[in-house]
Amino acid sequence: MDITTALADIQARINKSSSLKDLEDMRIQYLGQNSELTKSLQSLGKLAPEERRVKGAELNQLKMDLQITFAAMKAGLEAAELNAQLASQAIDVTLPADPTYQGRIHPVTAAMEDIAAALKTLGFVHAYGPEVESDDYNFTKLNLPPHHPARQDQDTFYLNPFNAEDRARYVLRTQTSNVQIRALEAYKPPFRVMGIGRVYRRDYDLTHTPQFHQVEGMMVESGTTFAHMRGVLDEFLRLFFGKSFKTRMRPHYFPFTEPSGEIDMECQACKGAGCRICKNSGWLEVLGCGMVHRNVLAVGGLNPVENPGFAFGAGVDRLAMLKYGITDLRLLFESHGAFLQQFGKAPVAAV
Amino acid sequence: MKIVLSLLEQFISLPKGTTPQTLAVALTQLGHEVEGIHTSGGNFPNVVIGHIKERIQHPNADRLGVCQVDVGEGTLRQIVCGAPNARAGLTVAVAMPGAVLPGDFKIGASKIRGVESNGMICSLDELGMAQERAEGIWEMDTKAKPGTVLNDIMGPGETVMDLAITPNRGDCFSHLGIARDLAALGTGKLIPLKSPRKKPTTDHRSPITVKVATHTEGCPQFNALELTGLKNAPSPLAVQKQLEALGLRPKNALVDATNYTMLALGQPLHAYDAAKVKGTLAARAAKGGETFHGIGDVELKLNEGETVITDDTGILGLGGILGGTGSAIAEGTSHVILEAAYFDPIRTALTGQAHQLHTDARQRFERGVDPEMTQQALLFCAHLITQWAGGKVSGMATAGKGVAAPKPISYNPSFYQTFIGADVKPARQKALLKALHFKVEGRPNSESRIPNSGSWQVTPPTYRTYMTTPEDLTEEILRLEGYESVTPQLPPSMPGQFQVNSAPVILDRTARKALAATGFLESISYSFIGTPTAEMFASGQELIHLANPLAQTDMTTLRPSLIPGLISAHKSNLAKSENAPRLAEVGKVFSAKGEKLMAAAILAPTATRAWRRGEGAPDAFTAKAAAQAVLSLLGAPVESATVSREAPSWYHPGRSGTLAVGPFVLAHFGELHPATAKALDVPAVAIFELHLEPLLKLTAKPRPWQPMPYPAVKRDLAFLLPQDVTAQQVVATIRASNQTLLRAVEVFDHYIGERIPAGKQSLALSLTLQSPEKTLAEADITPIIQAAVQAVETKHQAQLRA
Repeated sequence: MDITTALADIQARINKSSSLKDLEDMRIQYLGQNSELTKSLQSLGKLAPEERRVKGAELNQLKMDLQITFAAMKAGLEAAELNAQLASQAIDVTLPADPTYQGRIHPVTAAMEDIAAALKTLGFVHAYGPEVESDDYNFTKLNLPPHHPARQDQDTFYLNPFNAEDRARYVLRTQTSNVQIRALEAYKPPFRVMGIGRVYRRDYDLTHTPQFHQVEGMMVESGTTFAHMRGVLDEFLRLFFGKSFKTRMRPHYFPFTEPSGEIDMECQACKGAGCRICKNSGWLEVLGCGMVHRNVLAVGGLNPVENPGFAFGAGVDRLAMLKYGITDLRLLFESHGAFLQQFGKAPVAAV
Repeated sequence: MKIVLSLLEQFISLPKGTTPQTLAVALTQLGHEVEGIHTSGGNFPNVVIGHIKERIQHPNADRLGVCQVDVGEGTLRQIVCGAPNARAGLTVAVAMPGAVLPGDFKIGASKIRGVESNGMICSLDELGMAQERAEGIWEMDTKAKPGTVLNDIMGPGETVMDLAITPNRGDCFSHLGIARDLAALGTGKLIPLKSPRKKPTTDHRSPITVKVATHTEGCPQFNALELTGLKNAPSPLAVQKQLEALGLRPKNALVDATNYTMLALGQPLHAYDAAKVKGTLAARAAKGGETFHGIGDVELKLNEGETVITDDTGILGLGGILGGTGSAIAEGTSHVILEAAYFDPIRTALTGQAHQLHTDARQRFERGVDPEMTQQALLFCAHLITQWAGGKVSGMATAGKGVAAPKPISYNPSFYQTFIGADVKPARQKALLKALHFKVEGRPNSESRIPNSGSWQVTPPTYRTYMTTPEDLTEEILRLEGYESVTPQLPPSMPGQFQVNSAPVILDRTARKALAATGFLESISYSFIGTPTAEMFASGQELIHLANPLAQTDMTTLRPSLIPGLISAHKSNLAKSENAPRLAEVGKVFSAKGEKLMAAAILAPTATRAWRRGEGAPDAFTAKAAAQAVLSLLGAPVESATVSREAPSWYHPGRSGTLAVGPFVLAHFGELHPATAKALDVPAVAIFELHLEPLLKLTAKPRPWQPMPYPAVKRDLAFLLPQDVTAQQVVATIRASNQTLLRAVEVFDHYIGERIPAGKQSLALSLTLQSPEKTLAEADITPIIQAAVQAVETKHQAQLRA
């Protein structure tokens, strides 16, 4: 039998092998220590040099061809075996995934972060004021002496026991404006600070909760004008909401600012036509603001001529409701899981 | 405050074409926000007078009746009515099918619970003639025939505007005040008051017999006059309609006239029954402890210095706030004393606050009434009374040294530009101030930018109580120019940063995100909780209580812990769904020592039915893991924290612990104490609380990077130990046995049970050894392991397990 015929014959047999074991048996038979091929190769030395060269080349070619055939066949069989094994491991991937806990920050927290991010762009940094505050810091130093009628507008929670040491009457802060006083006492102008946090008023109905959140901002710097206040507040609202809305500014009264104003935003539910949400006015109040009153600046030894400034405040809960489309204030403080899941924000994408 | 257009127009002639809407725009620009516009006593072509002839019980509804009503049609009309006062014999207002009532309420013929109903019998509020919900249908007092259209009796409706008057504008608590502001803006022209301006001239025919006096600075001006020969009658229908529109119930000419004068001119008045006043009517300061009986069943113990009105026998009224029962007008009185005084705003405010009295009079006096108006208002009111009820007016008795005139404000018009950032020419500024009845004297020095050296002396009118500074004047000009007239500008950018400590706020926000990232839903609960619950979480600290909590709530004490709020949130979620979420909160807790920033979370068994691998109920270790994860996200050096087996009293004493780093307590974790759970009626849960403020002091020290080119070696050890030895102790002992080459000591198994002797525990640990200098050989490792074993055996009565 010549070598080519022998090769074709063996290759045909290899290709018929059905298992790796089969294949290995065949490899030992044709290429092993005791195979004819190995023996022939070993006996080459007995041949005459010319014949050895021709025969040797032939046999080595045959060996190489066989090795390639075996390797290819082995790879094929191994792949088939693995595939069969994997097929037996198949699962129903349509079954539900493992349960996980998806945490969310509260929509009010998200709004506080959005507000802080917007104000940070405008150069404001966080300042701090406590929630249990003396009457002095919550009212008197903000130009609200005990007899001031504006105190009546803010139903205040008073606290027991009184602090006997400093004889101060303590309250739950009714506004974040206490941050203004603390900033004026601690920092020298120029400065821009914001205070964002919980405030309390003695009021509980459809549109009021006894606890809510405010943001306060204050900028004190030589040369600051009412026009600057308008510029900063327009920009703040644009940054917070992500686009410009129609606004209007009208006079208002706050004891701690003069002149004072409020900013209304066009009601988005009715586009200014008037609806139930805006009580048919077409406008929603979003901000109170004004030039810092001289009696307040005096806390920091300042005056409105040399170090004028402006301050503003807004309800965080109201801003959150407007931005995220929440219609009932009380939902914010009921800790209802489904609500928190739907309106809460992922901690990594809050801004 | 409500204003009614027809009364406003007695003080101002509005330009042609003025509508309530254009008026609202002007008022808003002036700073008087319009909260609502409505029509009182509306225009109802389809509402007619009816007589109820019969009422029988509705066959299918206990609370409904079926009425047969004569509305002048010849036949009776059947109407179903739920009012408790519906009965035969009443004259009523019937809205016929097709009528449209306020609130776009369309009336049609319908079947109510199976009975035909052809119209509606109306209450006052359904007709928009009362602000509050009426108790039943309107029982009309009219002789008009059935079928008469309501409009023919009532006339056209009144337009009412609801204004938010800011506390600095006491002068605008009257129609006159609003008219003055509108006129200054150029919306209409003021109509001068008709009553005599200064002194009574025509009517004081009868001599005054009552004497008045004031002995207190709380009442610097006290005026009174007498009215005799009154025949008390209803006030004119037009006035009644105005009063009703303003939310007041008309009573009689006398009462209506005082109310009307207050609403028109802003001056509260008081009428005394002259027969009940003995001797001199005087204002004085109360002595502490005096008692006063006010109208409306009010009994007060007065504080020293409060202003009272007295006669020779006792206290008749609390000045500027409330009249007394003793001198109240009796039915059919023909002789009254009418008082109009000026009460000190501060005194009035403090007295009102002290006694929690909220009256129309207080509201005006504490904001400051116009001292120039008291006598004029007294005459105005006396005229009205005699017009409506006849009688004679006496001369006026007055006392008191009066009220100091307003001080001029030094104002330089150039201040407007520097403070507001917009340009208004001095001449225009002057014109605007004059339109507001400010007196402007002197010439401005345009060189000076300092307002106090300005050469205008601007004197506010007597009724503008809150005008004291140049900034106040800029606001007046700004109001008339319009806030929108100022072009917004961005301030020049800030050079460099400024010194503000933002860390506490940033920590608060980061903690919320860390909890969310660890799988918790952030809850925001109230800072106040019920006192008994608060006491369970007091930890021996003095609690802070609300001195004036909201009625009918359990919000009475400031929370000493966040856990009660989370538990009640958890319970309300359980009530909604069996699958309560993992909740967390970041916020303040309070005690007499102050407020602290904390975070807390609650972990309850999930009711989610997973198709594989049921997760066990959360326990102390679940809580510990979550607490450590959150602390680690917040940058706390959790790996160097030690655990103690202590925790506050609301934790299961054997299944809770406290994490601390050095002196700083960072966390408590564990299972809720079964007794606490029982008291709060909540199923078993795991909880943790984090003290956040210490994190501000714990800064993780940066460690230099140490390359470790040689492989680490691991060796496992298992010990049999007494049960009271903690894992933390064993780890610490091993670590202490070799400080240089031991990289890590980790517990990987723990067992208590039948396979080992009672009272013992088995603890298996994995030790990692590594040298920065060489590959460790067996000869290096063996002594280290032996030292570790020996240390544990001697220190903890341990046995090495094979």
